[in-house]
Amino acid sequence: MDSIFVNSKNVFLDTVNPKDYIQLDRVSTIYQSLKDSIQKPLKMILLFGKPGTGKSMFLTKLYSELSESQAIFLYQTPILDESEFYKTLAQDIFDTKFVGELNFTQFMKIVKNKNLEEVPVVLLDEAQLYSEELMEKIRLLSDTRTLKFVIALHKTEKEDLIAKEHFQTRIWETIELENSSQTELQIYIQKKLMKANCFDTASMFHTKAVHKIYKLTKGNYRDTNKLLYTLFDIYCIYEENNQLYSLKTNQVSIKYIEMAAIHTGLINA
Amino acid sequence: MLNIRDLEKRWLHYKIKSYLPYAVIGISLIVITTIVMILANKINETGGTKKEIKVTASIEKEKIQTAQKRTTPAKEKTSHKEQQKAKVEETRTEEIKNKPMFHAETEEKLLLKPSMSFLKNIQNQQQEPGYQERKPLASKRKTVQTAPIKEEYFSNEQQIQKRKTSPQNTTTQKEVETQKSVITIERRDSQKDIDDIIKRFKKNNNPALSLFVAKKYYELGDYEQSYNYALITNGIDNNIEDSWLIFAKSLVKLKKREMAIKTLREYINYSHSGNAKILLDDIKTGKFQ
Repeated sequence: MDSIFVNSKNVFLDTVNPKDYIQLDRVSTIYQSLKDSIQKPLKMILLFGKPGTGKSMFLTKLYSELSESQAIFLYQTPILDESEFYKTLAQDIFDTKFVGELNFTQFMKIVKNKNLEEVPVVLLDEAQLYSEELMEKIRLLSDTRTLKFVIALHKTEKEDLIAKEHFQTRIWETIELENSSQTELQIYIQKKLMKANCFDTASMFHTKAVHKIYKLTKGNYRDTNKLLYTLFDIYCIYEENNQLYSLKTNQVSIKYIEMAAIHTGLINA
Repeated sequence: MLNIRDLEKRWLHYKIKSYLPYAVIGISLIVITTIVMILANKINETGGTKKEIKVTASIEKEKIQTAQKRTTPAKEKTSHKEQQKAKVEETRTEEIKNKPMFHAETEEKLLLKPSMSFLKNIQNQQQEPGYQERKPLASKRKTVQTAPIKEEYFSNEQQIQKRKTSPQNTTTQKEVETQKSVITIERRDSQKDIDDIIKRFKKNNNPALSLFVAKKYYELGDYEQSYNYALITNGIDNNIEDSWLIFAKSLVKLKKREMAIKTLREYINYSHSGNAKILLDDIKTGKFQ
């Protein structure tokens, strides 16, 4: 049987699993609004935020929840080749296999011929990697109202430009994801640990420790996961070396948080 | 697998680095405060030694001056006495000079603690011909003229004596009398002249000069300055009636009537000065305002 520290460490593995989704008040509200937006007859939804704010998790969660009830397709890694993009969409959405090059006109023909009753939802993660030309084509596709796109992209100046110039008039819903607050971060950590039955380690995170974590990660979920993974890794090593007696196990030591931050690069030492 | 030892070392370095600015600031603050304290102490010490040096230097100068001026044994006696007086009261006058020009409260303290040396001065009063002899001459003109008269009077006397001793210019007593009658005392009121007298006073610390300055300032209507110089004069020699009178008058002019009355009473108590009594009555009745 693994020790509590090993279990706790595994909780913070950086994976996008809808089961690991943590219900936080603000995040739940945003998620609900996204779900509602999909039901609306809108053309496009833009989901944006800094890296590590949970965009991929949002899309995954949405996909896992809606996939049973409606036609929804998730593309976590971007298909950069235009022909390949159309071919993948044609195959996944319209069950049409196409041999050779497939251009935009040909794909539009397929879309019109199929004329599906229910508008399929296409979830595109990391959309900032798509070329501007392809993004323009996606915009034209959404204009036909035969496909609904949910685009998740990083919030940078470039992405803001895409959002403003190409899609501003067509986007019906813009949802911004932000880093968590300190209170939210404490709830996030403790809920995550308690979900994995790590109650002892969950109680170790007192306000001072969470404040330190918050200062280091600025409430970024990805950075927090990385930091806490390394933190519990440190505890595991001390445990393996039978040095746990020298540590306080009733609360997280600031020293080990800082050590984990040094290792993950959050502190430049 | 994490290298815990390396990580701990890096953490230690990080901690030292993070506390370093605070430590540097703290240490520098301590260093600065100690330097400031040391400097302040040094300034105080050097200030003290400078004063001593000044005093000794002025005494040396006076010695040289008096040695040059030695013409009669009586004069020598008086100058020697003046030197001794200056020695004793130099520090007092320096303190007074270093003080701001007008601080009634602190100066009042000085007034309320008169130097007991005035008793000696009273005893030796008659042995000071320089001051006593000048009085009638000064009273003929104006009391304010005492100091410059003294200088000119002495210089003339010296000239006379030189003439007497020199074989070429053998002059009779009559001639001396005519020489005396020829003396013209110019009344000079300009600030520059007062400044010259102040310079002279600073050199030889003669109370007659400071009294002259006090009177001059009083006449010019600068009662603060007249107060200050009367105070300095009292500090050097607290047995000069005119100085006390000017002091009291200045106080009245400076709207310190009560203080003037108090001071005069103190002075009358030990000197029984008639003029002081008259002035006190005038102040009390409101004749002098």
